[in-house]
Amino acid sequence: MTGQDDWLWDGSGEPDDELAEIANALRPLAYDGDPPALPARGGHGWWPGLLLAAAVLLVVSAAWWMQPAPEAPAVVAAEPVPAPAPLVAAQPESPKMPTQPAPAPGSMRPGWDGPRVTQLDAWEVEGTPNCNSIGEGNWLETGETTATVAIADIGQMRVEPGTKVRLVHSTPDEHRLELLRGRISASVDAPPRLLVLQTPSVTAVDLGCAYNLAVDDAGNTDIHVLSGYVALEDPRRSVWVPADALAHTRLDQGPGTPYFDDAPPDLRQALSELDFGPRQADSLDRAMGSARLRDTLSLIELLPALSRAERGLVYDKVVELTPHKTARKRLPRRKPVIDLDGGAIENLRDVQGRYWYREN
Amino acid sequence: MAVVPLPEPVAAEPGDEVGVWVAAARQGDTQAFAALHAHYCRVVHAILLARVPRQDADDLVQDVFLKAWQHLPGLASDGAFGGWLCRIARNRATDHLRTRRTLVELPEDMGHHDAPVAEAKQILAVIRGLPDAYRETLLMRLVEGMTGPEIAERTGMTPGSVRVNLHRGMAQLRERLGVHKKERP
Repeated sequence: MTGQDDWLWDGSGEPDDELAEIANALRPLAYDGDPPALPARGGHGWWPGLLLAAAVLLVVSAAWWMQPAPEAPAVVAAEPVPAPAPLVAAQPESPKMPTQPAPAPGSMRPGWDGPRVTQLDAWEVEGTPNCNSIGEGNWLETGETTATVAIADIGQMRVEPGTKVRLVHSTPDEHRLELLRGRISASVDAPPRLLVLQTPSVTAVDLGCAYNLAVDDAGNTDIHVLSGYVALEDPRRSVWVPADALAHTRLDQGPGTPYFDDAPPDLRQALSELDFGPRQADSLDRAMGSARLRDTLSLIELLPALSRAERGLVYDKVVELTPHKTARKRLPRRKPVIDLDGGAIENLRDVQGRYWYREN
Repeated sequence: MAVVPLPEPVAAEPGDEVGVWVAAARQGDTQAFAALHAHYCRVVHAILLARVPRQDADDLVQDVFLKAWQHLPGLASDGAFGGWLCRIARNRATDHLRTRRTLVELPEDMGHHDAPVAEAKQILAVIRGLPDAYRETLLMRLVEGMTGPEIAERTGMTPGSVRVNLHRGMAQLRERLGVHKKERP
């Protein structure tokens, strides 16, 4: 290290005149703002309200308890029960997740099991006739109803009919759900990676967004991101799905390449062949040939699934689609992209991402 | 920038003020949060400036700190505050670019004609063309005036990584600006 490097590091050593000139030129851009006006935070403010609500709920529930018990419904749509045998053999139950004992038939009124309403880690459920909360380890089965679930204090989830979902755990740094089948719509306003949704075929990690996600009976997963971003993570491959894009995941094959919801049919078909087979000799050519400027999303996310030589072709196509000379200069170099260097891929995504949402 | 009175650390190790501020802000202490703002605002601004138009970056700094304030009680570890805040800033920048899609993008220098600012923007445009790791670190050093040790402490990067980013980023910046490092005898 030279004295000029020390100057760059901490201002000590020999001054670097050119560097000082650059720093001086940039100084007008420095931040000069005040702290924001802070709103009242939910943290302390909602405690009295919560306690009051809990007290009211207990009184109402006690009154309900004193009435003669109605006949149990024919279909218990959303009763918290011990974790049933998994529908998918490859999806073992986690032994760490405690489950509550099943209530004896007729011993408890549907929709209320007393102590759970005071559990701080239970999530409120609306819309189902016999379940108003789920706690850790509880399954929610909607049957023919539609439920709305409060995702702790960070968002909301609509659970469509025919869905089976479990709250795995809810902690300050992660809320994890397991969706065995059915369809949910989640909306989250929180820092990234707070909401994690496991399905039989993939793990969806929320990066601050809203999305629809469906799991079919075979365990395949489809996601449509409405705002923000979702990462679909799998040991074989992980993809990044931004707003207005879809991605499909097949059991035992990992996530496929995301594409925008207005992508050309030829591109969708070619991506399906490349991701899940059967791959045709011209699948990649057709994917590249049908790609528009905003479909560089798909081309970039496709890179890890291709051979090194194919990655070179795709890189060239991305460069060709980049409309402005200045933007092309910002693109990372070819070799690190072909080497799947994380920083280069992120840079590529960053430069191209500026065009994905422009009206052309 | 307004001078923010920093609360006196209580029973803290030297250099552990941030942990004290985070713990206090988690409990609703707005003065402690103002101290965190003073400590981290330049880091957040540099991350945003690396990604979004300059005229938007200042407003987004406010957004990032508001979001951090709202979600601070859910932060698992006080020591993770810096990295957590940086992630919020990067996500906010990306989300901002997405939501700007229906707007007609105006030239960044519209309404500004003074030469120093124009020169700064030209250099900024070159820095934005560098890889993420380099441009963030360079902006923290060159625009915000932070030292390497300060950058490391506030972003959670190792000092070695910061030094490498500065060194390599500066080399690329010199090359693109056509500035050659003077070798001293």
